[in-house]
Amino acid sequence: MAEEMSWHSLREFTREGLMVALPLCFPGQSEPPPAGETAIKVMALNGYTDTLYMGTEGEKAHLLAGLIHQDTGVVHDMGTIPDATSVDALSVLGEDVRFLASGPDGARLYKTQRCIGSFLIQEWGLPRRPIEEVAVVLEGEGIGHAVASADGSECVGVSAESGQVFRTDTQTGETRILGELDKRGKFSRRLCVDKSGRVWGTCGNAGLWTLAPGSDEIEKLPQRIPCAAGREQHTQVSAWAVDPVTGMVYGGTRPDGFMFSLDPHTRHMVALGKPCRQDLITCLTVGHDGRVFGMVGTAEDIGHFFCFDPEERSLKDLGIPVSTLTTRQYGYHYACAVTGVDGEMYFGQHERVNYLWVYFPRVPQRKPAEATVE
Amino acid sequence: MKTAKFYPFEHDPKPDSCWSLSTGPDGRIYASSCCEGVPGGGVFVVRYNDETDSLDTLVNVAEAVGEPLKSGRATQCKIHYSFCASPATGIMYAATHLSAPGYGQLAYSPWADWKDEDQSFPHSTLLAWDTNKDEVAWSSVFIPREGCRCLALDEERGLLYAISYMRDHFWIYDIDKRSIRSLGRLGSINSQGIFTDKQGRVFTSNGDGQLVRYSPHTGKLEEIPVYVPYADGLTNWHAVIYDVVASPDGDCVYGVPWTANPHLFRYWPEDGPYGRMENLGPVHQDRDPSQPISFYLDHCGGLVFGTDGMLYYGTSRWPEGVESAFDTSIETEGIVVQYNPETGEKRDFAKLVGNPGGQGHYVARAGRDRFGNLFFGQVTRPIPAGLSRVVMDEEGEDLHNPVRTWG
Repeated sequence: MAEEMSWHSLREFTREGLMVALPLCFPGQSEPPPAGETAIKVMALNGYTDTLYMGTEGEKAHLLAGLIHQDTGVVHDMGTIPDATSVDALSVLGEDVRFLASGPDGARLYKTQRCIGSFLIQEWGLPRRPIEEVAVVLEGEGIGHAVASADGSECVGVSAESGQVFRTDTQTGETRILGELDKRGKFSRRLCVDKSGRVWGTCGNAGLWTLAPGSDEIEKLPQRIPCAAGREQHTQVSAWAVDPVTGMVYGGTRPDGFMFSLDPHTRHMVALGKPCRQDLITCLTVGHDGRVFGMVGTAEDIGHFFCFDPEERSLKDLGIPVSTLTTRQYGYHYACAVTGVDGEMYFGQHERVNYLWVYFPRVPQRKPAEATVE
Repeated sequence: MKTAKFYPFEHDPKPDSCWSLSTGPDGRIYASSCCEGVPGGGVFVVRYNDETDSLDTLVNVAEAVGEPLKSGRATQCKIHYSFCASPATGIMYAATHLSAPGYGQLAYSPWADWKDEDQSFPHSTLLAWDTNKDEVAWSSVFIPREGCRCLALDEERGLLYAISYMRDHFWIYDIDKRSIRSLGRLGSINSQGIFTDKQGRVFTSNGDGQLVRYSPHTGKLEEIPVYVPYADGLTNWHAVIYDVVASPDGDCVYGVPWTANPHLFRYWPEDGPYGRMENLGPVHQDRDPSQPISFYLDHCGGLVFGTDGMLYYGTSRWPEGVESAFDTSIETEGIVVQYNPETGEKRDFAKLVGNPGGQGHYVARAGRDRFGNLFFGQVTRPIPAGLSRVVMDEEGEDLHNPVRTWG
């Protein structure tokens, strides 16, 4: 690449594939929610309808629906969440959208209806359905993060301050506290649920914990997640991703920004390295080809986009996210990621003003055939 | 404030929309009784009978052009903004449009069914209604495989100008030769209006609200650096022309766009090389900008001048907070606004209603008859559609002139 560099281009921006930043609105027809209310904390896909749901945090929390397939291409603000400043988990199955959100008084379960759309080049109607509170989940404390089970029937989460692990029935809101992770506040505010339904998190000095499907017993494991020597006491997982084909779990850490893989069956972990000099891996997602893409960089950084290739065992810094197609933006800090039905990837920006970033990975060229057809 | 009288269309299946209403060359009001949502639905041309105070059905277009509604193909279901009066010949031209599924079909996509031999729309049809003889003078295949969104007549040159849906092409039809040619694509969103100036130049807009001008003198179709005004917070995308009416002296036109928060505009086509556009401000209430509003709710149309020199147009009103999607439970109001072109003052002039349980807020087009009364064509789906008449208490006859020559 050196020969392609020049004084005005060091190829510091998205070096592979294509990033497109979508405004959080119907472009040209509506305005995004106010700045300060749009930091995207969680995302979930409803595979049946292709709709991506997003929950924000800020002065107010919004539920957003992103539609990019067919003749759509919009983000619809489904509304603000009453009494909430953060959406912490989404369960989107069928026609049902259920989610956990936190506010100053605690955390609640809410429900609304799905968002679908078509014909959005010509004329439209995108209803804003009522968002209804189902039940109080936590009194007086918010949620750090929570994950929905594959069938959407429950969420497992961790409270933001006390580190209590809880399980919530997403139909009734009935919640049970399963245990406390760490009295000193040393626990990860990011959880994942693996292919078998097992929940994973970290606590203490870089320690792993897990919760088996249907079990109420938190299992704290002796293994330490990979980190620099002597940094165990500071290290937690800040991002997770699960390979839906192999079942391999990938983690990224804070504060130092290392990456590792975890085999959920053997519980064997492998350190994969540090993608680039920025700290804090904020989100990860596994592409259709098995490569793992993520973002690294704190809220004070100019973050980078990176990729881990499990075949090559390589980490690649893909540069600073940039979008030039229609929306001309730099992206510096993100909090969540998910892979879409066609292999596109969604990255939720987490700054004062935000976009939904869609990444279209490069399709590799075929290798030359040994014999050619004449 | 006056209350308009509603005249429902009474055809089978029940018409759901009146997309076109125009003053004929005879000073009477013609309207299209459309059935865009019913499989196998067709369009009828109706005329207001000022002697019986009722509507007369003039022609079932499908029958007139020999295209059965039960063919299974997308039907000749509506005449969109495509009535053109020819005062010199007494002909009222009408071109048909698509959208109703074929008979027995659940749904219709003109994109998916393109060139499908069993289901696709065969062509738009041009119908010439002789208002002197009250009969179809002739009909012709118009735009192949596409519908006609809007139509304008250049009577001096014997040309009709049209925009097709879905390919959004600009077409010129030679009436004597009965031949049509395309000058190519404009964009992806049809302008809903096309109009002419005193020089015979033709104006419409592309999907970005930019005016597109055709000159019969040069044969050139060109995008000119003039844009349809739009509201703060929106963009020019989709700010296509919706309805345009000429001022009584013909020096300028007044119009509204087909976009959210429509603004009334005034355009002087002969002022300078590209004309001069004026933004006369919003026609509707404020709305929640965080939601994309349905154009079926936030809709303004039916621009018509009264003999008093005032501009009249149909507007919609809705309860605050229901903007995102239209449904029939929303208590809308249809109000005809009177706008004073001299002062810019406006006032609510007449209330529009629809059938019981239906809304009267969606006005497609309007016209003025030979007694100076105003008529507004309404889309009231799913309730049967019709038109409304506002009595203006004028004296005299032949008060319909000058006649509008575009749809």
